Amino acid sequence: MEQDIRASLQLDSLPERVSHPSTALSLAGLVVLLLLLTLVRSWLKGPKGKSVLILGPCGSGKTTLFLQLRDSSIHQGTVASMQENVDTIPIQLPNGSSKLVQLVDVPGHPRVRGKFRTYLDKTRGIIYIVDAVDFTPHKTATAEQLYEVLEQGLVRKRRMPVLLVCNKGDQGAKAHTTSFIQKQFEKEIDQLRSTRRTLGDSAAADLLPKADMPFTFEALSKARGAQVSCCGASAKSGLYSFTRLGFSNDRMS
Amino acid sequence: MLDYFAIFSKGGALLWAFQLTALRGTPVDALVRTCLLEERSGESSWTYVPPQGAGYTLKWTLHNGLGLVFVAVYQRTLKLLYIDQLLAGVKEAFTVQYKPKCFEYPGFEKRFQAILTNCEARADDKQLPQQLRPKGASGALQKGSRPKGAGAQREAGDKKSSEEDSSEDDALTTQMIRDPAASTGSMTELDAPDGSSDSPGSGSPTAAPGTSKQAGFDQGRLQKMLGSPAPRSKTNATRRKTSDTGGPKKKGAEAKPKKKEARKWGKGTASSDGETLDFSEKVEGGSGSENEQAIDLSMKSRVDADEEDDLDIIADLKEEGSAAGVGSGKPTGGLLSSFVRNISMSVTGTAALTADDISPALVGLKRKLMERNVAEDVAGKLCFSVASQLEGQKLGSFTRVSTMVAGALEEALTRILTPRRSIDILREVRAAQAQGRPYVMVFVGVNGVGKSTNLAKVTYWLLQNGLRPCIAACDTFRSGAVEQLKTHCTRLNVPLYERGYEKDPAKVAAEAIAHAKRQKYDVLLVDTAGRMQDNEPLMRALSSLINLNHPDLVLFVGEALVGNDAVDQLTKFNQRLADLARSATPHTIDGLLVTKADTVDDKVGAMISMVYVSSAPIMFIGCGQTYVDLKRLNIKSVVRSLLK
Repeated sequence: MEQDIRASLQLDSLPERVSHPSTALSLAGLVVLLLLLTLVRSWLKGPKGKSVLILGPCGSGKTTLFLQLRDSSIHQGTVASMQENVDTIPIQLPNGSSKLVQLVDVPGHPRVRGKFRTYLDKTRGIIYIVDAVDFTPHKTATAEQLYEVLEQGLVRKRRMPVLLVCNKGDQGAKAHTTSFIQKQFEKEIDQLRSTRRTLGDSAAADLLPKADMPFTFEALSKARGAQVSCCGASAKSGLYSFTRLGFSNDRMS
Repeated sequence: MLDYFAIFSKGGALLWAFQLTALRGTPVDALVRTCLLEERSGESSWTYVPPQGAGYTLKWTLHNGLGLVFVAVYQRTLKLLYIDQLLAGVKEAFTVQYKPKCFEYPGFEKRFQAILTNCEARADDKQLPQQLRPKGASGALQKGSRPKGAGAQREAGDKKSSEEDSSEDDALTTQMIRDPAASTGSMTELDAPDGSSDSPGSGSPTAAPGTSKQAGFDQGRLQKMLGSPAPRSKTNATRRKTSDTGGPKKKGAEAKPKKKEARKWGKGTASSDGETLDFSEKVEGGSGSENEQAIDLSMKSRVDADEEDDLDIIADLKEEGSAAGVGSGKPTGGLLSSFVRNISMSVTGTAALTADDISPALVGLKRKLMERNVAEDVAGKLCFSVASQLEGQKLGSFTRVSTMVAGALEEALTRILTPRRSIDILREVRAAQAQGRPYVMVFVGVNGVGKSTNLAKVTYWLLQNGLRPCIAACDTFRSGAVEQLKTHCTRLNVPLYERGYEKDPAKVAAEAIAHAKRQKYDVLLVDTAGRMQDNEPLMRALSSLINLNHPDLVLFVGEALVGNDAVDQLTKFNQRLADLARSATPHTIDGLLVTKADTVDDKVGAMISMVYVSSAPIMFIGCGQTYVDLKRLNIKSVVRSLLK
């Protein structure tokens, strides 16, 4: 074995004292130890990311919410996003302490919304915003997008909590109620599950173990431990109660 | 004049806006969604038509280093020559004032007004002396004869609506508005404004002032100006001849008079009467039935097979891209300065990219794309769009220009291939079932691409997923088409609705839909005859089939072997479907089915051309000649084989 070590480290070219076998062995041991340490460190650091993703279909108010949370005002308004907005903000928790959270607002356009997968590694929770006013014409596409988020491997494995926000509640009677939207989502995802399962999609089977049970968010929480909660909001007028509710749900404390 | 000017960040926050009049609809949102995110940011302008009211033209410029977009919106009927200068001037002025998290720019409005008045004054000065020049032949009919596509967005992407043509037409319009009494503007007046504005390729290509002395309308000049190909009359006549052979035959068959037949009396029956007196039920398929046996559905269609997801493709891609990439930048101003520049760009990442840095890498990548069978102008537009998004960006440290360009191109290709609408057909079938009607899919395409074969493959897949399909044979022209479908139906044990040959396909399709609804079938697949995109009467027939029957899905079947013709095919198909529709929202191509993909190993570029031109997602890929050879699109592997 010493011969092998010598050959691999090209010890013949090194000066005499270094080519002593014990020094060579200790060098090798040091390298291995360093390697192990870095591995252990990264493993320990592990899934404790600090990001909260803001996802949702086009025009639902993601960038508005982002600006509201970061700057407490929406300034001049927003247009359709082409790129994601990433920033770190301090969040006031109900117990008084404040924590730094990285907010990521991913555009809703179908061509670019897949970028959220690159941020999933550091995510602790997901906010999924929908437009409560203009909900019914797009409910199928929106439910499909939510389904794609829920079926991601990392989301299921780490049981990331998802907060469903029904935005644009400031429009009063025109906005659908939270319970209505929740039921519509559950129906749509139930249908998606059955069609996706026939396509051989194994994630669909994992989403809810029993096939015959209708899909509800409560059943998902019980089965998978991933909490999906819903609430209404209005990003334009800025709701601090929402913030507290949202982030205590996300188990940030 | 100018209706609206906005500056916003790429993340979506509006930084500054200047509003002269209230806008109808949401032009800026539509621009981002349908143009900038669809890899068309290299185009010079874009048209938006709101739900009510006249359309707008939008022009924009990007500042990639800071991530800003500058957009100018004005009425579509106007031609404002100073917009490009205005955009450049505002970009310069705002870049100086911009601070990353600042949203208030109070002093900027004055500066903007100054730049605007300056640009307007300069444009007026250029226009003024030309008004007094002698007017040539009238181009009065040019505005009216421009092809009126129903979707105005298509005009921006159309090969005819380059900056020069639209500028000539619109300048003529403004000219006509100004002096309607005098004979309308000639092309000579356009030479000077075009020459001095910043539009690319500004010399008007069709100016032939020497021939414009006639007073009458000159069709030759019109065609030259519109850039159309050789006069169509000759070729149309030959094409019509070939398509009309079907017509007279039909008429001849119907016009044959019925002769009176003698009644047969008496007990004595001749042997020939044996057939007429045989009322027993005939076995389906006749004498050829021993060759066809129903196939079993046990072999799983490859649509549902999981494709392996290579996560380390990106790493491989970057390595290979940098290895094959062209060197970064050409020497500007001596060896030492270029060396310093290279170091500052690739190592420390401080200098911003310029067009000169990007173009060598892009030229190499464009050539590579064309080698992989991407259509030439699609590859050109794509590279232009990537260049416009990269210019001004800073390189990260220790990255080469070629790596960054390859990365940007890879992202752009992935974005193009990502579907914009759902490709889950089973879900849509369920939705149609819930409404109590069959889900109707129509297969269209040119001759010989494999419509009937792939229709059978899709039927096989639907059968495996537990649905009850029915096939309608609306190819009433090609000999043997109905029999081919009969064979497929016998093997798959699926009902066929056919009415033989020489019938109107639209009517056969309508009857088939009614039949499927009555019998409660889940899906109805309609096979149509192949037709060339230039064939007027056949395209009209196809359009009437689709617009009369309102199918749920129009699938364009294209082969992976097609080259530059893919662009032409899809553009013309979509255009015909849009032009001949009676309603305001025409039904254009919803999805693509790419066939014969097993014959092209790496050269999958036809998929990019087709998706770029039509914006329709690829639903299926046909990769063989048996029933199971139907797959879904795997974006990563296609992008990898394109940039290998």
